[in-house]
Amino acid sequence: MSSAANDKRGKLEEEFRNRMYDAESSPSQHLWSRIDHSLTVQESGEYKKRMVFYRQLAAACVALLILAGGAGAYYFGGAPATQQPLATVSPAPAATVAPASSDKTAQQAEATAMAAAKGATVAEPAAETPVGASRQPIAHSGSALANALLTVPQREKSAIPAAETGIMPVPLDEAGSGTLAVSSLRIAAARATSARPGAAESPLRLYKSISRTLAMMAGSPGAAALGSGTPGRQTMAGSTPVPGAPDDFKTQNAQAMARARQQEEEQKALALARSEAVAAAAVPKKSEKEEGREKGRWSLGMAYAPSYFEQNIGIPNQMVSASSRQSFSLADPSTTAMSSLYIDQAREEYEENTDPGFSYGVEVKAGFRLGKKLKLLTGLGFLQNTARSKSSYTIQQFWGNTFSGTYSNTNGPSNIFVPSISPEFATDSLVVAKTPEYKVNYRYRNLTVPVGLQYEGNMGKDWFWYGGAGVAVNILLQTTVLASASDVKDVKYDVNENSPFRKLQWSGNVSAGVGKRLANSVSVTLGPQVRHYFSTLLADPEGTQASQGKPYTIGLNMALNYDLGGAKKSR
Amino acid sequence: MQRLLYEQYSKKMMAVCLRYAPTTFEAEDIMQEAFVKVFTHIGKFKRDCPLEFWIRKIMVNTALKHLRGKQLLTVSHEADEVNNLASDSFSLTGYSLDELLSMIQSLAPRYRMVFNLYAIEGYNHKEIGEMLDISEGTSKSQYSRARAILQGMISRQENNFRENVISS
Repeated sequence: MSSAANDKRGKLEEEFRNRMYDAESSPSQHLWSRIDHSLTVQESGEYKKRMVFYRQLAAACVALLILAGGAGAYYFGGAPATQQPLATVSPAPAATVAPASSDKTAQQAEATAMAAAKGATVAEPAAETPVGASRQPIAHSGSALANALLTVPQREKSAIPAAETGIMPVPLDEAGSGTLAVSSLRIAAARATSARPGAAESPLRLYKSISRTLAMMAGSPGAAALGSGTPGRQTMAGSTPVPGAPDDFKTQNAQAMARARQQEEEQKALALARSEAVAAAAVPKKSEKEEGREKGRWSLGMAYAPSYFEQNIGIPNQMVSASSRQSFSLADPSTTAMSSLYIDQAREEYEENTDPGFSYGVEVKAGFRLGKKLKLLTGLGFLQNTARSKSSYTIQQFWGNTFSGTYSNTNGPSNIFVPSISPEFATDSLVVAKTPEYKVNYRYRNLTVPVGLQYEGNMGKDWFWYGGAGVAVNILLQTTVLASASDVKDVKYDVNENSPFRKLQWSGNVSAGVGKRLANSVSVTLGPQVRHYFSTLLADPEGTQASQGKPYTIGLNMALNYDLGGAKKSR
Repeated sequence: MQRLLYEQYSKKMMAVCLRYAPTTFEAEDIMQEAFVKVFTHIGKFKRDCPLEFWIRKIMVNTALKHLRGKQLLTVSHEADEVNNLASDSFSLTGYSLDELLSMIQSLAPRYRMVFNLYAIEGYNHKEIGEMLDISEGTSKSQYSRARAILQGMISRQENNFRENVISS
């Protein structure tokens, strides 16, 4: 307590200090009772504060559960009842299969194929049967191969025979050799692009479904009770008098309510007085800080996170090595060799030219301060993850039939990615074409519900740092494979369609960075963010030959936060 | 546990509060508030000093806050020019504790504060200036004034005592 500067104390100071410093004086007997009472009142006030905290925490959990429940109800309630396996391919003629794309050229080609096949009977004994499993002969019209080739764009169609132009039917069964197994072929059918009526309306249905679910939850008695902060009191206050009830009951009820209100006001006033006393008890500057913290427990925020997305899907090493016995084998061995060469080149090209694409996420978050520096965050967001590649080849798949000696195509030409992700081999033949280089974008749109914790620490007067981690459930809304070439068919899977991609994915998010307080309640943050998914993009990774890893994004997170309740700058 | 702590330190702390408060009633108010703080923040005690010192500091700070709230520490920045009466020949052995307390309590609040902090608690004028939000010079001048007043009291009492002895 004393300091070195305290060196000029005289006799008077020494005398007073010796006599007074350790002096004792008995306080009155009732002083301890007063102190004990004050402590009891203070403890009850702190208990009340804790109760308020737990109530708010419970409200946050309920809000999160409602949100997650709504998303879950949508996801599990909105999915189609019949899940058609990807490899299940209807053996109907190509013209009867409506393409998912609105490519009029393709439709016209299909219609032409239909006309060319007039009179031909199409047997469909194995409808909805996995071709790769049953291997039943499929009857097609005698001119099915020609019809199928009609669906190839005009430029390619005119290029047959393929050996001259780079378009060649790839036999999946070299009958002459007979050395390669049928099972070695695992080529995607990509039949899931079959158009469904009303598929274009799926976003509208999505919003309607969510709204309907939330409305149902809000309309339930339990939800109504949860929606009110103090259900019991509000119910009593808001209840309408029962007709015919005795007047004395009404009077007593009104008196009881008045007493309850009065007691509540008194308790509030007492708690306020106590909190002021306690705040003043500590060092004044510190108490102001704590007061500021108490005020801003809730916060709202918006975040924008540009990033790069690595989808981590490769191409199988051996896509084409043999063909089934039911398919045609081309007589020309050089054609087969060239097909294999093109496939290999397409695979290498994909591996070399596939890069992470620009992706972004937008989130609206609500924050609840658990402690002085710890915050619970949750909300709703939209993610668009994109990868990109270049390709110089198109691949088209065909069905083959030994008896009829015909082929029919499954879908339009695509790049090598689409057939490579199919879990079941479902084609007998491929047509590989070399084309001018075109770009392919792989776009994944997700609805995300993140939950996480964020820790903040001061760096200066207005600056702070933060670190956060959490998990998010991501609902795949739409997957699109977009090609820049007009003759390459785009592939699109909406939320209600069968898709080879996983529709519900969990991810872990980690971020850190710095923030600046712009005003009393407004702050901005900026920092790197990593989002790593806990599973692969494909729904059936075991059944797919494509090499796969777990996707991830690396980017920046820019957020704007608003503290509710007039929080002060200090945290 | 709280009761034991209270009983151990209540007498010393009551004496501290009496030095800062003008009346016993106000001293008990200060002590009550300070002990509530002690029990509330006992978890923050870091054991880097004796517990008695920590409790005494809370008592002093509470007393300062109490008197500041009553605007009793409003100081004029006029430098009180008081001659330093360097009479160090006296002794307080003949005075009881109550008499000494009465002398201190009779000082004006601002003088009482500075005197307590400097002469008894051992703070220097720079620290006192920061605690009371006054300048170091103001603290020195107010202390000189308080010291002079106390010396005057003591001198008068000694003179009265001598006159009584001679007359008897």
